[in-house]
Amino acid sequence: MSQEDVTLLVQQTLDGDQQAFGQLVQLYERDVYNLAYRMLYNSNEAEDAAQEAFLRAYANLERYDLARSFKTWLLSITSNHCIDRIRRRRLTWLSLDEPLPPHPALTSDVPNPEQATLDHERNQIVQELLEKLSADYRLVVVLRYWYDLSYAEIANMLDTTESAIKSRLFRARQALAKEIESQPIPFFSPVMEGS
Amino acid sequence: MGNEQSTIHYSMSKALDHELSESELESLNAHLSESEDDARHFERMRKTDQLLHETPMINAPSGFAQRVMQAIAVMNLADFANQRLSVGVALGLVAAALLTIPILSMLLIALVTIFTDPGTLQVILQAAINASTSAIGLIADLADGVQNMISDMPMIPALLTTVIPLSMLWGWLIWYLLRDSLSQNRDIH
Repeated sequence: MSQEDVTLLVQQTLDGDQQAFGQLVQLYERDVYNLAYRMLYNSNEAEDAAQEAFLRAYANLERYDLARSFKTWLLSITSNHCIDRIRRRRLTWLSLDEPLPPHPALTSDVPNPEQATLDHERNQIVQELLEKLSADYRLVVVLRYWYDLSYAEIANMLDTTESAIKSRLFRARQALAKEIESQPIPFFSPVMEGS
Repeated sequence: MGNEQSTIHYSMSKALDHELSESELESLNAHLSESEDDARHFERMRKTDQLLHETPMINAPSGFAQRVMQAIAVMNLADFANQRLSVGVALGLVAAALLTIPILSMLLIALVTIFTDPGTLQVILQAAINASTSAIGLIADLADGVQNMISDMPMIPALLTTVIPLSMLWGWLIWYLLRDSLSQNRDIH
């Protein structure tokens, strides 16, 4: 869908057409949910956060600048909300030993069982690595790798400078490399050998 | 040494982003061929980079969009309720406006009476002075009463010392609850 089509859907929503916003939700649900899940690593919380992000977007749609990318605006709302949730987690008692349930999207919507197992394993490794990073570093890694955003776009989203983003990504990469070094678990064997 | 290594690691990060010039890349490769540790570190960075690139996005759960739209429908109902609240406020204002008419009429009648019969003004002023004197006396009596009560009942200061912290606690709770809506406002930019 082109930016013009998205802009039209936004205009229609502002004119009171709720179905138009429904189309926007369908269009961006994967982007928003994936970001929430990568940041929060809990499917229920990710769904709540993604839903909240869409509700905030809907409630504040008149503040959206049509010159900007709608997707980036949505991701920006989602990022801020997820960071807030992570900060609030510190005030909440959570049992970290409780095993996390497998993500439903990894067990259902995949072409074959082998691929499902591989994807599940890869995701688990990646999430465990991301969990080692601080929320700020994790966010930059997620935006860079899953959304292919440029440094300038990420900087604009997070209201900071390009060099700050480069520095955060550099430090995040260093931390991840060290994490792999300290955990020579079956990390690359099942996932990376074939790639 | 540490600074030099940090610069080399930063070059590695730039290499992953394909941001190194040809000469910088050659220089990095030359260094990596000499330093086994750094070569291993770069390999780990490269493989992590590859792993992250190859990990697919996660799909939203089935029925997610529908649930969002249902939540929006509920939100719109809340807006409607707020609109009804606004209607209530408007009706209150109309009622106030309607009450203003008899009050103004009474004032007008009083003014007309005063101007037509100056003796009435004197009576009104006397009544006002008497009322003020009575009110001042009443306040003084009340203050005396409170003073007596405090001296007779030491529970009063104790109650006050309880009420003040409790009020502060309530104030904090109200702030805590309002904080959500304030932070939500900040998140949308």
